[in-house]
Amino acid sequence: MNLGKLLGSLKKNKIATFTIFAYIVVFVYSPYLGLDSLKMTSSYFIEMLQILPAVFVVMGLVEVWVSRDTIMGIFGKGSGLKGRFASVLIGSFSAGPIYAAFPVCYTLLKKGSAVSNIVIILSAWAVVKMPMLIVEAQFMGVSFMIVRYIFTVPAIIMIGVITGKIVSKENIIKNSSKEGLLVERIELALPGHSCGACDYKSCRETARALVLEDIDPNVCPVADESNKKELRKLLQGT
Amino acid sequence: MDITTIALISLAVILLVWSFKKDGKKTKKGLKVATNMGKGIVVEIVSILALIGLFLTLVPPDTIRIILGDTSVHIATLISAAFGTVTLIPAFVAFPLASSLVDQGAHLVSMAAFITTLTMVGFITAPIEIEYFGKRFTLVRNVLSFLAAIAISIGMGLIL
Repeated sequence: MNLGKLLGSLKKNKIATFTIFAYIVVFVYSPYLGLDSLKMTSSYFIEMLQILPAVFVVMGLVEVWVSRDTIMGIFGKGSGLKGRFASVLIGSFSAGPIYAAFPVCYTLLKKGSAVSNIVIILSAWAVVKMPMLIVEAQFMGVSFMIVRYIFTVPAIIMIGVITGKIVSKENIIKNSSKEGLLVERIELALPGHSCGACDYKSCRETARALVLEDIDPNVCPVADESNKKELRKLLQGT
Repeated sequence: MDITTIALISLAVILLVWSFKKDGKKTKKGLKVATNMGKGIVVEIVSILALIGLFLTLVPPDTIRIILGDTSVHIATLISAAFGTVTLIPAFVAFPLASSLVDQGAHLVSMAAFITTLTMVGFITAPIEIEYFGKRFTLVRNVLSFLAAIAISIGMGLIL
């Protein structure tokens, strides 16, 4: 491997690089501390192995079986109070730490959930999930648990609504480094009139065809120069 | 393994069997999506877990106990919230720790802040969150969650 390639992969895996570096420093300073850290890590690792594969399988199946309309109906912009309630509920019956919630929310967002409800799911997943409440009641007392719950649920709904006001879905789609959002990104790069001039029903359909069916990148007759430039950039990335 | 983990795994298995029976091709596609999801993030998550392990070894819960022991409620609440912000501890570690802190005289208010930030605000998991949702989303969500944690603990202080 040449130096440029090595640097490239280090840059791509910034966190891993940093972690390995931190461990080297600790091991040099004290091998005992290093070993203890690894032991601590292994228990988290086991937890991850129990939860993440199952989460990914469920979300993969949701991806192929559940239609965009269904998700939009439950968690989308117009879902109102029902959507908030469903979001708290799905977060409450979850397992695992917050990082397990990211791929779940990512899939739901891709399928049409509102930003606010994503935040509610993330937060509920983190602070009011069932197993946590049970442990909490054991250690902190039932009244502590109930009072915290009563304060927390409205708070996370507020956090969701405010985040949804500040951060647009377009912003998330543009800034996510996940490839799965390519269709969405291309849809944004198209003029967005859904005029049908390209023989696809909507810009979304066109975007999907561009990604999946390898059609002519200049399919859109009404795209201007900036649209075309953006499209070329996005499609080259694949 | 707690009950929800078992439920989650059973759910995955049941859905998988059902899906295979209904449409093998579609299921394979779904599994491909699942593996891609995993491949895309597994290095980051393992790195973060290793960092958390390192952090908790270098700053063990006992140290936190000593720091929080003598300070006033307000300061302790802020320290608890800050500590909770940086780390990510599973609930089964966090609650025994919080309850032993209470036994030693820590105020319930600070513990509420501790628990809420501990689980909801994640400095250390922010890189993963950014990967999925971008910087702006991550920043806004975490700042709001931190403020909410303080507000929740103040509110709880009024009642408890």
